[in-house]
Amino acid sequence: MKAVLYAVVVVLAPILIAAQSAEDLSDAAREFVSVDSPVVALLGVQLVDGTGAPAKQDQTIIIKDGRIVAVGDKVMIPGNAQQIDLEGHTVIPGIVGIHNHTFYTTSQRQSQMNTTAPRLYLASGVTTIRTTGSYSPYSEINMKRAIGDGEIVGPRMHITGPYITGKGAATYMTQVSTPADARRVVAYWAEEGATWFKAYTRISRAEIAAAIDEAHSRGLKFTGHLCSVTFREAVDLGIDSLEHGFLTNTEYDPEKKLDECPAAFRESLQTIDLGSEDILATIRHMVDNGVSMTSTLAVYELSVPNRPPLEDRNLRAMESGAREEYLTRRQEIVELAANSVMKDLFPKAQAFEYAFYKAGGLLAAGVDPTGSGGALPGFGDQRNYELLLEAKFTPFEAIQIMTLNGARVLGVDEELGTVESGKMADFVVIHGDPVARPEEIRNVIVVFKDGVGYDSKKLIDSVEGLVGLR
Amino acid sequence: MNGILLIAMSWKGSLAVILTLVWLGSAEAQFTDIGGHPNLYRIQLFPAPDLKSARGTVRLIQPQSPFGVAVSPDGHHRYKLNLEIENLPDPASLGDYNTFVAWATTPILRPLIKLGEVGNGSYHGLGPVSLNKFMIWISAENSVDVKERLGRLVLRGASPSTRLQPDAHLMLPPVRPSMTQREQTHKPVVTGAKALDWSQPPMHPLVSMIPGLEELRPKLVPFLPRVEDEREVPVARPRQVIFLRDGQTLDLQASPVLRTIHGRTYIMYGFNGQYPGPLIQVQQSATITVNFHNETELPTAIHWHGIRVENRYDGVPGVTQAPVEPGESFRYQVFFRDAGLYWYHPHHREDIQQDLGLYGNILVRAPTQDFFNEVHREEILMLDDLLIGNDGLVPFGEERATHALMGRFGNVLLVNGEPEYSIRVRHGEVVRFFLTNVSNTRMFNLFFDGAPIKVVGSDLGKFERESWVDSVTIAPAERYIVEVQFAEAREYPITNRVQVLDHTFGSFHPEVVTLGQIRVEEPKAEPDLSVTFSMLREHTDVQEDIARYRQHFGRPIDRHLLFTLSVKDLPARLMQRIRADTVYFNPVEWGGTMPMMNWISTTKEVEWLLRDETSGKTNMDIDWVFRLGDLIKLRLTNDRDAIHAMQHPFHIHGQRFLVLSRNHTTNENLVWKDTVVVAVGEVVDLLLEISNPGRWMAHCHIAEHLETGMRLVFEAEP
Repeated sequence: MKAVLYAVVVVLAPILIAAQSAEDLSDAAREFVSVDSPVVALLGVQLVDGTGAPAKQDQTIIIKDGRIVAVGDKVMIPGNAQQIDLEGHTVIPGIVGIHNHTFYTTSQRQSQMNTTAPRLYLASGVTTIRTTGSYSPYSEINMKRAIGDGEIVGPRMHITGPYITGKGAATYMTQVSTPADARRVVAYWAEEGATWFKAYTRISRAEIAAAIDEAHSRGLKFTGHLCSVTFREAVDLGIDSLEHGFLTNTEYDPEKKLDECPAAFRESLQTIDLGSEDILATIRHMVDNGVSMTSTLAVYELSVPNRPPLEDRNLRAMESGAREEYLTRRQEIVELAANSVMKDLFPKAQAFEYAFYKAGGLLAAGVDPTGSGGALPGFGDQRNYELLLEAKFTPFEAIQIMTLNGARVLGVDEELGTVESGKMADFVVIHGDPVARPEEIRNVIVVFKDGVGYDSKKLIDSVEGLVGLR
Repeated sequence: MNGILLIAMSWKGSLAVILTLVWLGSAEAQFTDIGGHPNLYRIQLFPAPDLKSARGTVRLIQPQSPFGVAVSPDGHHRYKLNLEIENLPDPASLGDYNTFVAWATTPILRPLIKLGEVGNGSYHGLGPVSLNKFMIWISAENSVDVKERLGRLVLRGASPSTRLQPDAHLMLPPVRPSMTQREQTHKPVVTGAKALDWSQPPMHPLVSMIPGLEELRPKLVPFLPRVEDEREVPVARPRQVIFLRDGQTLDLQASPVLRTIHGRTYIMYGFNGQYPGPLIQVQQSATITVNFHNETELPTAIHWHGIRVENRYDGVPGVTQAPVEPGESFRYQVFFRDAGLYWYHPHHREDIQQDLGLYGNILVRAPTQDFFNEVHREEILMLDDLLIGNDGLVPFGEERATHALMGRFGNVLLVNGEPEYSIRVRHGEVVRFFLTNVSNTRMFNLFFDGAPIKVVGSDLGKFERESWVDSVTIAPAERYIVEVQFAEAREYPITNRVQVLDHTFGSFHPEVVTLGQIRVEEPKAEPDLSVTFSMLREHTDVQEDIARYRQHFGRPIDRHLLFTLSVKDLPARLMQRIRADTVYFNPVEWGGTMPMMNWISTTKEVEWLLRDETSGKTNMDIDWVFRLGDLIKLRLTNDRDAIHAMQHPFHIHGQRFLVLSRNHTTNENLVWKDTVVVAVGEVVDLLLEISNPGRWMAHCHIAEHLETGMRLVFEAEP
């Protein structure tokens, strides 16, 4: 049986994703490589394979030429394999981050992270990202090419074009005012290499409909961080995915006017009962139409007073000014705690995600390294794991959301998203047991992408003091 | 190289700036002699991923403009494009294509401007393009006649202005104080005398306030004119015209006056109780005597701007005379060597005195009858702005000037001291406007609602030839003489149209302010001057005069001044903003969109510099000595890399000069000038004629920049 599967994979491999070997990397990129043998055997790991199945103990994983060729407790170890004894370690699939920008914000700055984002994502075990709104599309196009050419190290990238929105939004977004504008913008960036598009809060139904249609006509997909268009309206207009979940759904606001983003819709989110028919109808409509949803708990947690842990590694990675801005804003949020709506809304957002998942919805996750600046690329993806557990998901469901489900959203789940024989060798070696002790998901030792192992610590050390700067 | 390509392509974020500069450094040698700071006047084109060796560069060239700065009627900077392209493959090798076409477009890809067919090689003068943020594309096409881009992209690049990006988005609370003009009316009269406190300058209506600056104040004592009894302050009258003949005398007094603007009354200053000061009309070669008396509470003096007067009457305290203290007098003898439009104003704390109304025009008539074209009427307009907040005039700094960074932008625009200028003209009338910009810092872009505008003259007389323009761009202290025909029986609003920057959100906003109305009424104006107006005159008298200097145009640079800036001790929050803004500077800062940040910077923290690039000396340490009859080639470079760069209107006292080139593009229509505006990153070459002996000042005419020390004195030996 195994032999048959193996044969199939060998035939399919060249058609699907070609693996990048360590030899394809530039000298600068190779600095971060810790495992580069063509055949590697990882021995004695606890495996959470991403399918949602419980953890398996004492597993052996064999990598050959960038692919997983065998997984199990009784696999034959090839004679030429580099053997790595990983007792006391856990392996999870490479994280597929579905809201993973390459830019960063604090309350005072916004900067494109051409240096830090790709390294931090990879260091944290995020081997595939969808950028979900480009601040600087050409930076991402060039970053993806540079990663593909082995000039720099980083995750596999699915580039989303520039944010498409209406008048009055921030100007790095493309502000369209007609459906024809929207089509033109989609067509241009599709030609330049975007495979997804993202609408933002001020787009009209007519514009988003045109943009979705233009993307679909090119075989590309469309998501949105919406406000002027409600979830159900967007589903009816053919959207493929919705970002952020509960906290961006304006359809429960009685004051909501068509094509307008209501100023105070979060009040309606405070009052609505999660068991109400309205909520269930939204979830049903999304599930019935195959619309996925992205959980971005780590960035929203930043707005909840006294919530996000103050992690040393975050502060170390930040440029000093960005650190000061983050800490100042963090303190301001604490001082404004009495008026905070996020205390109530955050658990509701978690519960909404759980309900969506349990109703059969495709829930994926991503960090969204924006807001006040405390959710860093990769680090925030790991924090999502803890927040998903807090939302009542099992560790295996949470890992599935962060890996396989992301791959499903991107349509690459045949190749990525789980640790199974025949898939690309993208997975994360963690020291310890994040099933028993969730915080240990941070203890990444090696991240395999295309079967090449990257040294997590070296990557993190290389960006110290640079987040917010570059 | 690829790492740098990656960043440079993004044009974003702070690293982009650092690395872009590194990257530009390597290309610098190639372009040094071509002109304009590459960071502002060049676009690098990047190839599609499969065409790695193709490359291109676009240079942004200001088209010829009588105003130096070329903008569209809406205030967009206007550029012609020079392209250099290499290593493009045979178009047929890319598909069903036979040529390449260049395009310009905005981030929403509309409008799309076809620039023309291109290939490997050099292309000059494509365009013009006048868009705030734009991209340049080169596409492969199968016909040169395509109207839209149909083929694939091969090269593309983005304008320097696209580097403007917001600092943050999700967390930044927009603060929009509602201090609009409407809400300010019907407030009580401001006496300005007792217990004066700082009142905050109003926010620009189009932009959001930068959070975190709300509590900052200038570290100065606030100042507004103080009077013992307000009831004794006369109400200012509109200016009178005074015709003076050779040998006649004018008594001129500076004193407090009451001015009412938009229904609110303020204590300001006036010459002879008028606003503006009296309009003096004299004949060329006349000499008049002016008995000046200072009835204000500030030391002062009168500078006769642009007039080649005898040095001791130039009116510069500390250089040509002692200040005229309150209650004291000074007698000036003013000799009018050149015909043209001039003005007079104090040269001591101009930021206060000139802003409060101490300015007047002088029209010097040439003896020849046909010096100007025949027109139906002449209008002499002084353009100004005034900064009015909720509590009245925003106070000045008593010890030193506020607004040292960008100069004090007003929020109420004035024509001859009035917020609503209005005239009635006959159908078809041709009006000659004599325009003087007397604002502290604002550059205007005047639009006569589509009426054709003919530019005739500037500071010291006429251009070599007349030219048509769509709008009139005028920097502080400059003068332009234009003729406008109102051919349709309708209202023509005069508007100031510029594109201002929201620095927080990195966006441009069109700012349109109506300065006045021209009401065109029947019957038709007699005589019909349409034919005369339709023709552009060659001013052979000017051409012959300037021809005598042409042999010196090519001489090497004699002196090189860099305009730059030093700041210290500004609040950290402010410095952070200032640094963030260095990512892009518009060639001209058209509006006061950062009023708080500007207001709290005083001349203590900010020092604008003129730096002599040969000696390294700055400002008053510069000790140039010239001889009468010298012709000096003076290069002015406006430092793009200054921590806050903006345009500087540079004025040279007592002499006249020609503007030979901008960014090394030869100026093809010359006029004698005394003030020239140098945009950010621009290199302007002048030919300065040393024609008047004495010790003369040269300085930036932004009043607050002058107050920070942006001035030098040179000696013209007899």
